[in-house]
Amino acid sequence: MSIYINGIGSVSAQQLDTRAGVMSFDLAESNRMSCKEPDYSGLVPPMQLRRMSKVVRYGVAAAKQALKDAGLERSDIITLGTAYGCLADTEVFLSKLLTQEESMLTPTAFIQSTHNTVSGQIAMLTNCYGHNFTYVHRGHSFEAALQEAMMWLKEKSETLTDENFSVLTGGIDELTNDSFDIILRFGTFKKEQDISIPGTEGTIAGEGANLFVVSQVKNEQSYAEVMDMHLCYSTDIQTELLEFLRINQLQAEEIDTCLIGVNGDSRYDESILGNIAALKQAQWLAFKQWSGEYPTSNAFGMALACMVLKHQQIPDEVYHAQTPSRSEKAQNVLLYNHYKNKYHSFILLKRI
Amino acid sequence: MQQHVWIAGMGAISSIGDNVQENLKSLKEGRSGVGYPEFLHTVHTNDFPVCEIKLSNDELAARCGMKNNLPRTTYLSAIAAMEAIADIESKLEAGQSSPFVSYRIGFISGNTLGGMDRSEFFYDEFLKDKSKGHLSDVVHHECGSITELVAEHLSIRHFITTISTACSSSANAIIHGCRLIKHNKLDIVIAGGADALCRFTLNGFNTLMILDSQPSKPFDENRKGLNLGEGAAYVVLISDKVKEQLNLQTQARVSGSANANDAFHQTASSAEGNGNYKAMKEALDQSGLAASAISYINAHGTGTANNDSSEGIAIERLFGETLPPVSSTKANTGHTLGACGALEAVYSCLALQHNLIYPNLRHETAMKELSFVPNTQLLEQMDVQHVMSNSFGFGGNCTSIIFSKS
Repeated sequence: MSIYINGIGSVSAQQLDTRAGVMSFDLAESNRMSCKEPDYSGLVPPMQLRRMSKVVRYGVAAAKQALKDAGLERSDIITLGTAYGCLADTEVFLSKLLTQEESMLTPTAFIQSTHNTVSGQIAMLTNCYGHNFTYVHRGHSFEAALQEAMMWLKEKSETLTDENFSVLTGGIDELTNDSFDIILRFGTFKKEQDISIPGTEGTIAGEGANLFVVSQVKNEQSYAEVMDMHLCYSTDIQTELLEFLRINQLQAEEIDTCLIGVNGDSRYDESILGNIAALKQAQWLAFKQWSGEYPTSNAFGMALACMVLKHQQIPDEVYHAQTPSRSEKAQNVLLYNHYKNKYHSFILLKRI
Repeated sequence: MQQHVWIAGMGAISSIGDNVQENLKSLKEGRSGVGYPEFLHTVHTNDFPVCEIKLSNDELAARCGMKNNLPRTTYLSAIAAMEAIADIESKLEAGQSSPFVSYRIGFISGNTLGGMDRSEFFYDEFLKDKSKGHLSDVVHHECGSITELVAEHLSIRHFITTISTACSSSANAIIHGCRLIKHNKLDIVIAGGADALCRFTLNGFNTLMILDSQPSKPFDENRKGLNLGEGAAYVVLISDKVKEQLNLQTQARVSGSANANDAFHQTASSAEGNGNYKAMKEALDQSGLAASAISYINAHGTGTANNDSSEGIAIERLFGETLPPVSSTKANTGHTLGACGALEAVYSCLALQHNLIYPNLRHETAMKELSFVPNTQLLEQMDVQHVMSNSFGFGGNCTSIIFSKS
C-alpha cells in the first residue's frame, strides 16, 4: 500500500506556493517570526473571519488551501496536531477571569479556547462529518496526527473499501505576545543580539499551520509518497535510525537528501547532526531558519520536502551549512526532526 | 489485523471513590459526589456544587509518590494509571515477569486543561509584571506535559501521546489505543484520561449558562445544567498475543467504536443529534451487533437541556423499539470533562463483569420530546452482554464505544 500527499495548505513565516514551486525566503528580523497572513478571500467567509482568533484563521485557511489544492470539497476525516491549542483565546479568558475576579465574563473566548476548536471549525465549514481527532502532545503532535492518518489509509486499503478515502492532516500552533515572553524566560529563544551569531544558545520563535491531504490514490498533482514514519522519545536516535532504514529495506546511501530540524541552538545542533552521521552520502537541508521553532514546525518541514520532491529544485537558502554535498535533486528524503532533543521523528518521503 | 482488543486492567478515581472498587460500591449504593468545593478556590464556592475529590494536592501527591506542586490533573492521572497497571500485574501467575519488561507499551491520555490550575496562579502575577510569576507554575501548562510527567513516572517510553477533543478526549484515547494494537504497533496500551477542577472551566461553563446551581438531573424535563466533576480513569488494552501468552483473565473487550463530527456548532449539538447518531451507528456497525443486542447504554447525559435532548433523540432514532435501559452516571460523578469517557468505560466494564445496570439519579419527570425515561433503579443479576458508552464534546466531537463480555 502507498500513501500520497495530494494537497498542501501552508501558512507560515514564508510565502510558499507549493503548487507552482515558488519559494522566496525572508530572514528573521528578530528572535520571533510571525506568519504572513494569506489572502482569506475565497477561503473563509468574511463574517466568520472576524470572529476567528489567529490560530483558527491560519488553520481554517490552510485546510481550505490544502483541500482546494487536492481538488476536494472536503476530506473524509480530519486528524490534526497542536501542542498549544488556542493560546490567544485562553489568555483572553484567563486574564478577564483574574482581573474581573470571576465575574461579568463572556463565553466567546472560552468557547474558542478548546484545543479542538480548529478541527471542529474545519469540520463545520467543510461539512466533514467523519472522524475528527486532535493530538496535543508537545513535539509529537503533528507526527501523531500523521501517523493516525496513515493507519486509516492502511485500513481502507486492506479492506478494499473507499479507494478515494482522504485524510486532512497537519500541524498548527500559534505564537502570542504572552507565550513568546513566557517561553523566552525559559531560555528557549535567542537573545535579540544573538540572532545572527552562530553557536549561540536558543532558537528563533515561530508559528504556522501546515496541512496536507493524504490518500492511497496518486494523480499527476501528487507531491510525494510517504513511505513510513517513526517516532522516538528520549532514546538512542542513531540506533533507531538504522533500524528504521533496515525495516524499510534501505541502505543509508539510498537516502540522497536529509531535511533536518536543527534550530540553531548551540545546545542541540551538534548532537542532532551527530544522530544522522550515517547519512554522510546525503545532501543536508534545514528548514527551521525559515519557519521558526514551534512544536509542530515539522509540518512546515514536510511541506518543504514535498516541494523539493515535486519540483526538483533546492534553493541555496535550504542547504545546511555543513552539507556533505549538493545535487539539487532529490529521490528519497528523510525528514528528521527533534523538539527539545526529547521528541524525535523520522518521516521518509519518496519522489513519485 | 485482530478484530477486538481486550481490557485486562482498570483504574479510576472520582468524587465517588479513590479506586475502582469504591466507585463500584458508590454506583451500587446510588451515591453522588456532589457538594460545595473545599479544595477549589473560587468566588463561586456557594453558587455551584461540584463533584470534588476530597483530597488535597499534597495528599494526592503522596498517594502516587510524585513531587509536590505539580498540576492536580497529574496526580489524578498517575493514581488511576498506577491502579490499572497494578490490576493487570495482580493477574500474573507466580514467577511470571511483568509484561512491562517484554512488550511494547503505550500510554495514551486525554485531558482538556493540562496544568491550567497552576497557570491560573502564574498568570495572575504575570499580568501585573511580565517578569513575574513562578515559571515552575507554568512549565506544565500544556496538555501533553501532564501525559509526559505521568509516563515518566510509570517508566513508559515506547509510545506516549495526548488527545484533546474536549469531553470525548479519553474515550478517543481508548479508540486510538485499540487502533495502535490492531495495527500491531503496540502490544499493551494504558488508555484513558484525567481532568481536575479549576476556575477556568467553572467560569467558562458558567458563561455558557449550563451549570446547575443544584445537583444535576440528567434526562429530566426540568434539568438545569451540569455539575462539573474531576477524576481520572484508565483501562489496560491488550492484544490477542498478550492475552494468550500471559494467559490473562480479561474484564471485557472493545467490540466496536466510532468518532463522528456533528459539524453544527462549536458548543451545541444539532437538535436531531446527527453526530451522536452517526457515532453510535458506526460503533454498532463495527461491532457487527444489531441494536437489539445492546444490554445497556451508559449515556453522555450531562444534564444540559441541549445534550440530553439531542442524545436522547439520536438514541431513540437508532434503537427504536429495541431500546435497552439507558442511564447517565454523571449525576453521581459530575461531568469530569477529559476523564469522563474513560471513567464511564470503567463503569461499563464493571456493568459487564457484575451484570449490573446503574440507576440515573434524581430523575423525576419524563422529557417531553422523548418517549423513554432513563433507568432509575439499580438492576442486578441482569444478563449484560454488550454496553454502549457515549461521550460527546465541544467542536462537534461525538464518540461511542461498545464494550462486550470477554
